[in-house]
Amino acid sequence: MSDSSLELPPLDANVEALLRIERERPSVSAAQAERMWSAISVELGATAVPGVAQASPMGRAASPVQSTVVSGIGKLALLKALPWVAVSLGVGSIGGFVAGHRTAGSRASLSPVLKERETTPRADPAPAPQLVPIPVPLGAPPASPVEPPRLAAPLPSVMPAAVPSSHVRRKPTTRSDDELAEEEALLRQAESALRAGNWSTALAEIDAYARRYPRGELAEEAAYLGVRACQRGGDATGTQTRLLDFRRRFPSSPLGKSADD
Amino acid sequence: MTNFGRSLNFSQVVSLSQLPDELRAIYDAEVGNVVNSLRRLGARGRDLEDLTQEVFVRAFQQLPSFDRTRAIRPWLFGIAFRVMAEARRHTWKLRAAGQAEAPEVATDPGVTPERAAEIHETRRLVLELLEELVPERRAVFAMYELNGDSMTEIADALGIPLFTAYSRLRVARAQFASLVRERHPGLKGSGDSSGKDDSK
Repeated sequence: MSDSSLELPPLDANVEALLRIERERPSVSAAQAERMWSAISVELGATAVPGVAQASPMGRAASPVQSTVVSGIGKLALLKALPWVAVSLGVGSIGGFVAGHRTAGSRASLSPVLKERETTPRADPAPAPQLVPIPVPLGAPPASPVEPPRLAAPLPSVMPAAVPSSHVRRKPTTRSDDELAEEEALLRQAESALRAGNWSTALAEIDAYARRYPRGELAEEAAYLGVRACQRGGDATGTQTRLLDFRRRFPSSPLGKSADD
Repeated sequence: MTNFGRSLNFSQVVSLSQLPDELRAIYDAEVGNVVNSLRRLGARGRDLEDLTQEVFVRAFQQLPSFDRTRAIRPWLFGIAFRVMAEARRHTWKLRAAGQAEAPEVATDPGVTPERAAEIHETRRLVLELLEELVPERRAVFAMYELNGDSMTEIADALGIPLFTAYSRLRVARAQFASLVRERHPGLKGSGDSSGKDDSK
């Protein structure tokens, strides 16, 4: 078959015939390939970050509870979960988020879900999640319908450049920008600790946020980060507890659904 | 430097983020091969997708340190082999163990349902027999006999001496042939693997 310095005898004809059929096994379907690519893009965006080393689901042993979470994250291949990952990545770009609040014209760095939250009152029913795995600058040319999902930029330094926000129709929000910025600042600290592998610090920051803003605009994101922090820290009991709490408080969350698998 | 992407530095992250087109091209070219390799290594059903994703995530994380003069396909197989080995060690990760392979959908209009079923059964049989080989021999056998990789590439991808690769292949070949004779003595391999129905 291939190069070899040693002479290998030919296979039995029947064996060779069997193997020939197996060699021509078809590839994966286009839909399956796209589904896996989406998950790979998400996973790379979530893990290829300095200091966040153990997000790889196969990289180490984990408890069944952790596996549930990991499996759920793996199931983010499902389109419904992508916006949530964008949230997790978007929290990583809180710098841009803060800038978006403080400086008119920096809104492009907001994750899609956060944008949706900002422009939609909380009492309104949430619209169906859109497949927008990474932020796209407002005003940019529309993406081709067949364009594959791109690798999400994991760091604020590689986020899209800010563009004017003249196209954004803002609805009045019930919270002030300063309050929201404070929420973000707290979560940013938690997220930084999470990236650095300081699970206990991250959890402390998340809990501090929860105490200070029990009905905060970013409560879901905080709860989600709490699950991830426990999971990455190897705290199976904490993961389970926070996961149950997350499901109870946010039963319609895509992450909660995927974690049920 | 990197060990399965666990110590990526900043420049590498930026580099990865700027190469989505290249990653996509690699993925498009190799995803079918990776899926089939994992299948031959024992992955089934739902595990196939998860493990395939894991292989590519690791591969892309290691890509900055990958020697571009090497063939990428055996390298991916080596990663798949290690991913599969880890999954076996933690059996809870293999949720689909024992799951039957879903019948393939015959897309070639020239393939009769009977012929498609026959091909599916043959492939199922090959996977069943591969399961009988120990993973290390199975990997060498699959790479050489099914993927067409060279022995040098196999030894390199699996991190084993060339002599060891030959030894494993020789034993695997003998064992596989023996299994075919013992379990399916009346089996007649089809000379046509194109999926066409010769009876017409």
